[in-house]
Amino acid sequence: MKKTNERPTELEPMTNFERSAKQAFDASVRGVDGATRARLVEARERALQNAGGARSSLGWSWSLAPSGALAAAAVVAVLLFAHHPRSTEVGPAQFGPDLEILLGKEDLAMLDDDIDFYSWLEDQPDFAPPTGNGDGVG
Amino acid sequence: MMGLALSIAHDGIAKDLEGEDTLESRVAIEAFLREVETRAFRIAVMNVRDRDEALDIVQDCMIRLVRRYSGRPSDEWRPLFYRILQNRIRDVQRRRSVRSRVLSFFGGIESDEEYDPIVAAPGPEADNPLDQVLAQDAMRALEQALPMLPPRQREAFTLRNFEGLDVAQTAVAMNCTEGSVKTHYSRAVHRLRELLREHGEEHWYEEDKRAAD
Repeated sequence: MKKTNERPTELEPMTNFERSAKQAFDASVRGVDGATRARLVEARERALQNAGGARSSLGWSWSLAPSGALAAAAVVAVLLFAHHPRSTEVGPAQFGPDLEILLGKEDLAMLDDDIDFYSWLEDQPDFAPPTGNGDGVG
Repeated sequence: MMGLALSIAHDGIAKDLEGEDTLESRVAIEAFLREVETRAFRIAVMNVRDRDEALDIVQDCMIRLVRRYSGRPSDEWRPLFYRILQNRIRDVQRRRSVRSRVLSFFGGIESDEEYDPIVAAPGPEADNPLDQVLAQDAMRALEQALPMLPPRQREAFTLRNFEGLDVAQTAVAMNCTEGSVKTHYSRAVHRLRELLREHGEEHWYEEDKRAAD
């Protein structure tokens, strides 16, 4: 029987390739600059302070502003399309589900809940993201 | 309102009674976060290629771990943390993919999220200059090859190789069986070696070849 190149146990030694990859990654971690490390310390302190805080608080966001601007632009675009319908192949209807993703916060809330439950839910054969008309029903 | 007040009072009493335990667990989880935060950040940067977004991801992961799982045994924190990290990375990638579709619809607006090699590259502190250059070259090659893997293979490689999670921990982090972890990891290693060989990165596999001979 032909053996695979699988590493079935933790006891089997790493190949040179695996060792080189790990060393390269470790070196890149050691090389993270001081400013970034300082921000990670801030993030950790916020996380620890948030331990007993309000569930809605998600801490500081370094990348929130661009997303907010994009979401606002998307809303304006939809409003414009709603008032000026065109006969093009692509239109706002196509972005129904996309906009839900862009504007929604459901995934962030989801991760606040029990991860085991959502893992189980994902595995269920009947579970599928909404398709078709984008209203999420039927 | 009364219920809320009682709940708050109860929480306060519980914290007083468990003061020592709370302090101990806080110290333990803080030490854990300190240990993983920079590595998690590098993994996030490699996947989303945006430093601010990577910082947000790591912060979210830390908040969620502390809130939801700090009461779990500490040996469960690592796989849970990396499971949250993988979920958050996938979430950002999904949003980004949608965002780029919307942006391209509005006339090809340039995204400001192009890969920035300066952000992705290691900082100036690593090892001696020669080792640093070699490590940077190796990492750059690896970072170019990793996105070519299917997502599950990439996750398996990241968790098993970079993070050193064992098969069981990786299975928890990836929400799959240990057999699947082994398969994904094995295929990832095989494919990465092929890709790096194609790009002339001979040193990645020379010793393995000699050992095989």
